Amino acid sequence: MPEVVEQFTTEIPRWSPHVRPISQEDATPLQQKSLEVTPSGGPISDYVLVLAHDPETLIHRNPLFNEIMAGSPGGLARADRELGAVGASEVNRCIFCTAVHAKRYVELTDQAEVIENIFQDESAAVLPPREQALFDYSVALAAIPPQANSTHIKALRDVGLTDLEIIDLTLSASVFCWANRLMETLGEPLARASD
Amino acid sequence: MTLDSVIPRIAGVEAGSPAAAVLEERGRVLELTQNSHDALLTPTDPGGLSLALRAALATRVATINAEEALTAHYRALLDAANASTEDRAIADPAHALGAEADRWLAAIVTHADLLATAPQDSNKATIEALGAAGVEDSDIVRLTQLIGFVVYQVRFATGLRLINEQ
Repeated sequence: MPEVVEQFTTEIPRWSPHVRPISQEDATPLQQKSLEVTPSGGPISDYVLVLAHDPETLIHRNPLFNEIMAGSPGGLARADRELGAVGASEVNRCIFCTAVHAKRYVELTDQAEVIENIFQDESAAVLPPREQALFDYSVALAAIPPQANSTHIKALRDVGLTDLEIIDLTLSASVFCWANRLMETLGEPLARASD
Repeated sequence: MTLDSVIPRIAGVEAGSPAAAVLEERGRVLELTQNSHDALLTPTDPGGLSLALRAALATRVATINAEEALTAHYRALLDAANASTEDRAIADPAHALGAEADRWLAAIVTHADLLATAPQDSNKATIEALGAAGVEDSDIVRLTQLIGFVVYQVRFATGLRLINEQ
């Protein structure tokens, strides 16, 4: 039996659903339509097939997710949106989301040490000033209730973020507070076979 | 038009403010956010989760997040729905369902609270327990999307208020 992954990692686990994915052959026309857009343009995964149980929502949710993470022209750089995703996913301890987006962050920035520090010290991680401001705001926003305040906004402005960039960061951390709740409750991350 | 949807309304975004200027640039996000709201609160096919129960659970989760304006929004939806006394009680997070409560409903409310406050504590057994209480797979997905969406809304609105503050 493969083990459930419980520690933060950039090795993307296999996601094993707790809720039975829909069968694509038996999908209703609305379910088929809801599968036309997938998160980050990936394959039609078990995750998406589980979410297709509620096609009315999925048909808007996947495009919204993609717009926040990779659309929304101008504004915050793609890598910084990934850092927002990592901040929220770390607070919510979503191993799968953290792995995917930490890996993408490192690919885009080559700053593996930022992710190493986050994995080691979690919400208390000490980072370079710009990354610190982005990460701390994302962490505070993900708290329940949110703890983000004007001090966080001042820190973001001090490292040069515009209002548009601050809202793009807000959106990426916020949409991950939603995504984490789907990913870490409807299934679980399993270690991939090492051989 | 941009400001005429739930998020700018509950965040108190007024025309001419910094947050309004930003939302001008993020019209597509705002539109898809409103569409998600409508799909979750007033769906064509609600499955096993009535519109009143959805509004009650959304009120409960907005309250847990200390989000007053969003709580008021969902309470108004609850008032407009054909809510039972039980649905109204669920809207208040201080209300725990008693031993005599329906098993299906108790499982839904317990899971909504877990999703809102400690999703990392959910596991395979948690989802199996929902199934054992008679909650359909499709309703587990609907419930998870609903709570996840409210948690997202709270934070989106928080960011808009903060950039308007100073």
